[in-house]
Amino acid sequence: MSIALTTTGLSKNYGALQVTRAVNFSLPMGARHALIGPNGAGKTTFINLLTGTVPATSGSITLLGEDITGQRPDQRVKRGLARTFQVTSLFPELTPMQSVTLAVCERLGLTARWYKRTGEHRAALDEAAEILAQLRLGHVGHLLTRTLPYGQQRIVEVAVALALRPRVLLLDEPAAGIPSGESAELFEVIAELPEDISLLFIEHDMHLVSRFASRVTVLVAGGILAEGTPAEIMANPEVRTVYLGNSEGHA
Amino acid sequence: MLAILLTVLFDGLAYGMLLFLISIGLSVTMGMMGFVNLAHGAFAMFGGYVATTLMQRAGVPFLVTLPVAFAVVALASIVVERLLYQRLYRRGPLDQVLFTVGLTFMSVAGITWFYGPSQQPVVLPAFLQGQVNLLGLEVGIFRLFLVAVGLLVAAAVVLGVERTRFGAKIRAAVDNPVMATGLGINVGGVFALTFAIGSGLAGLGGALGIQILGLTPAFPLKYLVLFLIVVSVGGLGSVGGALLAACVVGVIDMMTKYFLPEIGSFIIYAVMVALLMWRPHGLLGKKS
Repeated sequence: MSIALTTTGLSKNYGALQVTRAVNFSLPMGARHALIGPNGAGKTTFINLLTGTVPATSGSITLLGEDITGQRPDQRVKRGLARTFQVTSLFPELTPMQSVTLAVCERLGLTARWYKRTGEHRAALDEAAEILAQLRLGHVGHLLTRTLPYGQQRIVEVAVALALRPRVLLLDEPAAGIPSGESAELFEVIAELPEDISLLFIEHDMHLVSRFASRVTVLVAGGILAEGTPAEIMANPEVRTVYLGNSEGHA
Repeated sequence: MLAILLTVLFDGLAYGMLLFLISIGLSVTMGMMGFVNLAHGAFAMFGGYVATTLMQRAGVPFLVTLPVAFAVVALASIVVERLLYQRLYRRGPLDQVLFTVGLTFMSVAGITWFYGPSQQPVVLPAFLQGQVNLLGLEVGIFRLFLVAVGLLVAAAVVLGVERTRFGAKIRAAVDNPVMATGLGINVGGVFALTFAIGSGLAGLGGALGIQILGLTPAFPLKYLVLFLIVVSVGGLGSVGGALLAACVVGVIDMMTKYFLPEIGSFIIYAVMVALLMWRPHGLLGKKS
């Protein structure tokens, strides 16, 4: 079993508007795969289809050999699919420690004992602390999330996603909105993600894409235009045309 | 004179507890889920009719009818939520208002059809009747019972939301539903259950309030404004705020009805306007 995630003929229409067109895509186990494309190409919609936030019009999605097309988003999470958002999506009034503990508790099914306190489970707390320490967030674990700098908030998102022990992790523009001075930490975190996690990330910056991805898929107008290694993609004339001949590779 | 004042004050508190029990569910659904459920009073009325029906037709003791009213209304509300309300979460407030007002009129008509327009009688068990001397003050035992139940429920709701894992799920789902789903929390399920508990409490309040509020098919319309006052003055989604506001509204309404019956409800509306001008987000509401 070497494929983590597959889509077959995956499509999404809003009335007459086709935002995702029969996408056949597969993500091997342990992949480092980038999804690029111009604005409005349907990259985030594709991620939303995978997570189930947006229901597919037709086609199917298979996660670790199981058809998840009809499943609710929370059920897909339980089967190993985690994500982060283009615009940080966190619990602003909780601390990173509380957010990550909540994720651990949810994964372990501890919330079934609903009458217990969240912080009552030693193992969950220890695991949360360990994840935060790994991502160098240990020293801010007790601060309210909304008070953290944006770059750290994005790492908290990754921490929450990791607490779910995902098999497939979807990162939607992880570096978007981070001042360049704060982004180095985030990229170290992404580089050090466990190798058994299959990673699909949306990114605009081709330098980052070549640094982190071994394969790239180019999405244009909801359909796949090209797929290959970062070098192949950058040399592809069709892709260059789409990006208006931007030889800097900055889309 | 002082004794009368204190007695009216206590009656107002007991009345306020009923308002609290009924309004807390509305505060939660409006404040947390952002859904304007103007049919909330109909759930309370339904609880009242469940209780009287059980007492009159099956001779079930009053105290036993209370948990049954809670459970029946909670279960019925899950059906309503999954079947009807769920479709309206993404719609604008006007759609929600029109829909739930329509539902309220349907419930009024439906209950009139089955039970007729007249007031439903209730006979309280002997041990809840009469007066008891509390620190030199003669208070009704039933009103004392209402205050106790109200405080117990308030404590249970606060502890449940603040100290349990289910409460943590509710807070997460309210804070950021998209993120909560991303954690693997079934947000729809959490909302349905929260909605059911809130509706169940309204049903409990309706059953407890048969004697004091009176039970006729007009109930949801007659008291809707008071429930909304409690929710807005208390602050959306705030349990402590709802309790405080319900007591304030109950006491003021009771006092004015007793001492100034001519202008009666004018005072309560004037106070509400003043409170909301002073604190637009309610007494204990968070600024949004």
